This record gives sequence, structure tokens and C-alpha cells, in this order.
Amino acid sequence: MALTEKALAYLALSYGFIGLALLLREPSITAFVITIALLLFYSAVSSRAQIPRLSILRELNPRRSFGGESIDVTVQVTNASERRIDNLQLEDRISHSLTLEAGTNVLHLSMGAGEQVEFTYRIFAPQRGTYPLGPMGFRTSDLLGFRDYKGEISGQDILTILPRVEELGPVELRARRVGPWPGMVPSRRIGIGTDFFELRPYGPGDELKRINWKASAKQAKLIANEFEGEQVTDVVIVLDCSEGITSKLFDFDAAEFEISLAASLCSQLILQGNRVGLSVYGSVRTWVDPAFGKRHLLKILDSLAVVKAGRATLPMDYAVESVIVTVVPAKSVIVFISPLLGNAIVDIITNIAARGYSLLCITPTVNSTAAVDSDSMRLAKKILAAERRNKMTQVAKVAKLIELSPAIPIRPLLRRKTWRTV
Amino acid sequence: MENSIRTLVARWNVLRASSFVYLLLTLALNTVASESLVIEIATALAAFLGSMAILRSDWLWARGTFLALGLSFFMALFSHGLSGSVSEKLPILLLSLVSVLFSVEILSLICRYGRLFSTRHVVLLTSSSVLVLEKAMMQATTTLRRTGLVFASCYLIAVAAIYMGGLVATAVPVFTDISLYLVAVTISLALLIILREE
Repeated sequence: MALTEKALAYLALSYGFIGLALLLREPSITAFVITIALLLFYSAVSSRAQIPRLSILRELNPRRSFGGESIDVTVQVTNASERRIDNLQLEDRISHSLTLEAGTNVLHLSMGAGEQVEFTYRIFAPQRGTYPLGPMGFRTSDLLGFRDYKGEISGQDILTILPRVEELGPVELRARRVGPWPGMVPSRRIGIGTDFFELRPYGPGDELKRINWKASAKQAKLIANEFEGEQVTDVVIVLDCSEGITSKLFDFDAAEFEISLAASLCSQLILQGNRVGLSVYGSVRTWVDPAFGKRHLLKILDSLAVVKAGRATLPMDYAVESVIVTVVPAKSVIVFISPLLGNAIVDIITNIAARGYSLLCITPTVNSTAAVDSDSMRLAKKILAAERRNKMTQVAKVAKLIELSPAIPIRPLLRRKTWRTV
Repeated sequence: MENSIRTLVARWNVLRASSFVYLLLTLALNTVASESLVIEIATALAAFLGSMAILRSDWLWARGTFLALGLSFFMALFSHGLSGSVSEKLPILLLSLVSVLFSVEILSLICRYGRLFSTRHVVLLTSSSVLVLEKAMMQATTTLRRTGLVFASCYLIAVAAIYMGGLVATAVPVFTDISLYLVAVTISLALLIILREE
């Protein structure tokens, strides 16, 4: 057990009294020191050296959140030592960016041997990210708080705030390669679907509803409709969160917008039965192999929760052209979500297109009417916007290009007929 | 469960009210120990800051109160020191010091436990958390009681020591001159005991 600041303050007070006694030449002032000396003496005699053995169990409800909601944290603390612990202070350490909404994460109590206590506090889920909860710090002290022992109980829990997922409605993709399972991507082959493909003579066993009565009347024999099969495909979403995304060209948080868009797209594409993968380039690089299912979506959302905009650790051209091309079958769909500001991005997209992939490129809109601080800033913005416009023109030659803005909901913008192409 | 919470919060409020009364008594004692305008101002300031500290269970207000309490005590001590009447008023000044130190303990305790009994915390109580709150309340009252006893006994021992010292000094006048050294040795001893390896 170590001396606390309080004990040192009491000692300083004692010597202050002695100094005052000398200054005023009044020996009786030193009598005040007796009280303080007695207190210090009592503290030294009464405190026992004991290192508490505590264990904790922390439960988060919910463990994952989409933000904008409260998280209840229930902590169960057990005194695993064989002695009673007096004057125990427990503090469940939480990240500074979390807001304590109700309850308290600090407790003062005594615990008997083997005793268990449980307490609950509520935190407000902030922005997307991962937030550690714990470890729990503890402090035991003597009665007067002159000596204490500080430690921590190991064990951290991670609260994950996932990016916001918007319901986009059906996302219509065109792919040159489709999988064997039914989905929503036109396969350019006869199959089960909704789009008309061709006519053929009606045969035994065909459903009556497939008869094309107009064609039958013209040809004086029964003619049936054939439909274009709709199947699933492989989609990889490449999220470009490199330093360009933090540019002042955007008058909104373009990185958060892109991440939310990627989450929404992944969710919708998985819902449509596609095999979806994710590749993120930013200060944190992430790769999620293409796969199906809700569990996989959770994996993708977990990866998006930790994305941070910034300089990429690996050159994007190397990563995309070597990794993605190796893993993703040719003629699949690759969706680029990028501010189109980096030097290499146009080359990357062109090279990928040359390898036969179907490309869709989504980029945040630049508000050219936004207010700027100075003339030089206005000029710089204009130059940057012009360069970006040039890149967009080049990308539009090899990929479907969509400009999206956070000012209006994404859902109506992603409908094919409202897509704004360059 | 609601009844238990209501009882606990009521007990906490009683504790806070008692603390405020005790603070006022301490300040009154300081004023009685030495009447001066500066001390009265410091006392009024301490009363205001203390009431805010107890009301809000806030460390900032509590620190302000500690300073005001210390100022009022030291002004009283200084005025007596200048007039050379410390030895006459020693028991009351000693009581004043012990009261100030105990008030500081009480305010610290109020600030430490304040968050637990705040409305913000109470809204989230489950049955298990009520047990924790009960334990905290018990801990707070036990701590107060034991601290009060320690301070009271320290005061009594100090007064007894002064009385005995007076008797010894009357019998053997040479001891009067070495009182300073005795005190220094006492502190050093306490310090040694504190720093000893266990």
C-alpha cells in the first residue's frame, strides 16, 4: 500500500504548523501537530497489506448497435479472496467518447469473502466504431485514505457500433458471369425470371399462363413466352477511404457517407442472394472474402465499423490488381466506392475493366456552390473539382458511374432510372 | 423495490442535511474561536460553497469549501498567534481544527457517493443494483461513524497530552523548551511507521 496525496497533504500541514510556531514564536501552536500525528499513526497501525483478488463478468445489451440507442452494461464483481475488503472503490473504465447516460460506473463499497455484487449503467451509443469497456480499476484504502492500493481487473469487452444501414430497395446489377442459384441478376439465358427473353412454340407441359396470345393469333398456332433467368453473382465492394476522402472538396463527412453506403449496398446485395466481398483501403485495410448469408453480412459490418479514413498502408493498385483479381472470378461485379481523387484510381478501374469485370463506380457529389473561406481556397477547389470531373469522364468510359449525395436519401437515387451518369 | 429506493434516497438526503448542519457548526466554532470581519467573510463563503458542494455533490465546490474552511481556521489561528493568546484558546482551536478536518472528510464522502444516489443513477436501478446501493449506504455511514470516532479520540488524546505536558512542564520547566523537538520526533515516528515495509 502506498501513501496517498492526502497523507502527504496532512504531513505538509503538520510541518506548516511547526513553521508557523517558529515564525510566531508560539510553541503551543505545535500542539496541533499532535492530532495530525495521531491520525497518521492510526492509519499506519490499522491498515493491513492485502491485495484483493477480484473477478468480473460484464454483459452488454446489445453488444452490437447501429448507433442512436442506449447500451446497458451489467457488471458482476466477485471477491475471490478469503478476506473482507473494506473501503473498496470500483471503476469500470469506459472510453472517453462514450457518454454515461444513466447509472454510474464507479462504486464504493465493502465486500465480504466470496461475495458477489452486480450493478448496471447505461451508455449512449456514439458514432460508428469499436469502443473498449474495461478493464475495471479498483482501489482499496485505509479508513482515512492515507494509504491505498490500486490495481485493475483484467478483462475488456468491445462495444461495436456498426455503420448505419439504409434500406436501398432492389439494386439492379448487370454481370457477365452469374452463379447457379436463382437471384436478381439477369443471366442472358432462358430461365426463371420476369423479363421477356424470346418466343417459342407451346409444348405439352407448359403452363397456360405462358401462352402469348397475340403471337399465337398471328401465327395460327400456340406460342409461349420464354423469360430471362435471374441468378446470383459475385460482387466485391472496393471502398476507397484513402486520404482523398478527407479533402475539403466535400462539404460533408464523405468518409462516413461512403462507409454507410457500402454497408447498405452489402446488406441489400446479400439480401438479394449474391456472394458479397469487401475490400477497404484507408488507414485500416480490410479484406472480407466473398460469401453468402446474414452471418457474413455481420462480418462485413464489423469490418466497416473499424474503418478509418487516412493514408492507405498498402498501395491500392497493388492490392486491387493482385489480390482481388486472384480471389474474385473474372466477369464478376466490382463496385468501387471512391471520391475519385487519388492519382492511381483511374488506372486501377481501367485495368480491372480490361480484365473483363463488370464495374460500377459510386462517388460522392461535390457541392460547387458551397461557401469557401478565401479566393485561393475557391480556386484550389475549382482546380480539384475540374481534375475530378476529368477522372469521372475517364471512369465513365469503362464503368457505370453514379454520383450520390447525402443530402437526400440513397434509396430513390439507386433506382436505375434516376441514376445520374456522366 | 421502489420503497427500498425511496428509503435509501431519503437516508442519503438525511445524511446530506446532517453534513450541512455539521459544516455550519464547524464554521460557528471558527467564528467563536476568533471574531474578525475576514473570518466572518470566509465563514460565509465556506457556508455557501459547502451548501453547493453538498447540494450538487461536486468536487469543484468541495475544493472551494476546503480552501474557505482552511482560510477561516488559519485566520483565527494567526490572529491568536499575533496576540499571543494561542495557549489560552488551545482546546477550542484544537477542536476547531479537528472539526475542519472532519468536515473535509464528510464533504469528500458526499462527493464520492453523490453519483450513486443521483437521480440519473437511481432511474436505472434493478433489484441487484438496489442491493449495491444499500451496501454503499452502509459503507458510507460506517465510514462516517468510524472516522468521527477516530477524530474525536485523536482530539481527546491531544487535549490530554497537552494537559499532561502542562503538568510536566510545571514540574520540570526544562521540558518547555524542547516541546518543538518532541513534536518533530512524533511526526518523524509517524512517518517512519507509514513508510515501513509490510
